[in-house]
Amino acid sequence: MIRSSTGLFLAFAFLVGCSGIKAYRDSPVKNLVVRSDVDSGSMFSSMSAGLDVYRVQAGCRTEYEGTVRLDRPSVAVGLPSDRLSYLVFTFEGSSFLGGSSSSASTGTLLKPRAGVRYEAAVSYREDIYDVVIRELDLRKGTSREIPHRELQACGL
Amino acid sequence: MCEQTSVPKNSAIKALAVLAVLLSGCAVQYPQNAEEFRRAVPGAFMAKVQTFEVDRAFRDVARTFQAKAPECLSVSVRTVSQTGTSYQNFLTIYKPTVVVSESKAELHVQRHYQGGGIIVPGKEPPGGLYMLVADATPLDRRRTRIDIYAPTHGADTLIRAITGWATGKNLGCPDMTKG
Repeated sequence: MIRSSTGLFLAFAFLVGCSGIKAYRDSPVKNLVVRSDVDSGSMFSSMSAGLDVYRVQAGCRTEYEGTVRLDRPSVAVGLPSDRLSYLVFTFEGSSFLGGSSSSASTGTLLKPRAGVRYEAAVSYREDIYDVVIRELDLRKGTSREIPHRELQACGL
Repeated sequence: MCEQTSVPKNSAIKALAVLAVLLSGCAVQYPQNAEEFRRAVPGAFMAKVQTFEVDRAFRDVARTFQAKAPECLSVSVRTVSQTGTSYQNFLTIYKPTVVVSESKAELHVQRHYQGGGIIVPGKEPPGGLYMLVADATPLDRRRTRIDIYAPTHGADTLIRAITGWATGKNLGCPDMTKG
């Protein structure tokens, strides 16, 4: 039993190490809630969503910090406040029959303000995806949509 | 620009299509601008014009085109296909352009193939071959006419997305790895 567990662990570590994907180590304060509505596919295909978080440095250079799997309808994430992050939402599809796979993604800049909550509505239906991020002001009971911002706009 | 990846299941068909392009010795006269593309589509094999009206003001449709086209269509798709005897790896770079005037909003989508030994047999316009042109023209204060010039195959998702932008009912982006 121990041997098979170790084998599984090694296989997992090998796969994770090779793919370059690592779990995002988020902040304890969960300021972003991601609500996903992803077409999970059919009997012969699957679709999954994820959120890659990048730290944005001078000159709009990015440093990969980790990935959050969006495998539940609602996932809470703690992003660093008052610092620019580049959020890339990815949609990975695969077909079991033909051995095909695809990956689509969309990225946006976000600089969360301290003490403020954010909600991202993520959907993938019939080959069309959408990501809408809203900033919630809990005291006033209002919310506003955060406009999509390309990485190149990091200095603006 | 985000790079998206696609490993097609019908790789053999795509490989044949690519091969046909590669083997084609004769130069093809490609539309060099949106107007030439509009003129070419009605008589072209496997291309058509779709026309419909939306209950939405022209100004709103134009604004949506301006917002969504760069966000959703400035993408590149890497296609990797492998069979027992061949391997293909190429990049398709999409370029959207939106031109808005008082009487018309135009959305042009071009694509350029890079790598994989793909040779376009003819003069390719700057930005790539024209793939789709969508025109929005005002009918009255609340209604807008949409004309979409596009291929009959391989642009279904893109056409559905543009239709959603025009009606305002779905502002999502097309997964450009899908047809």
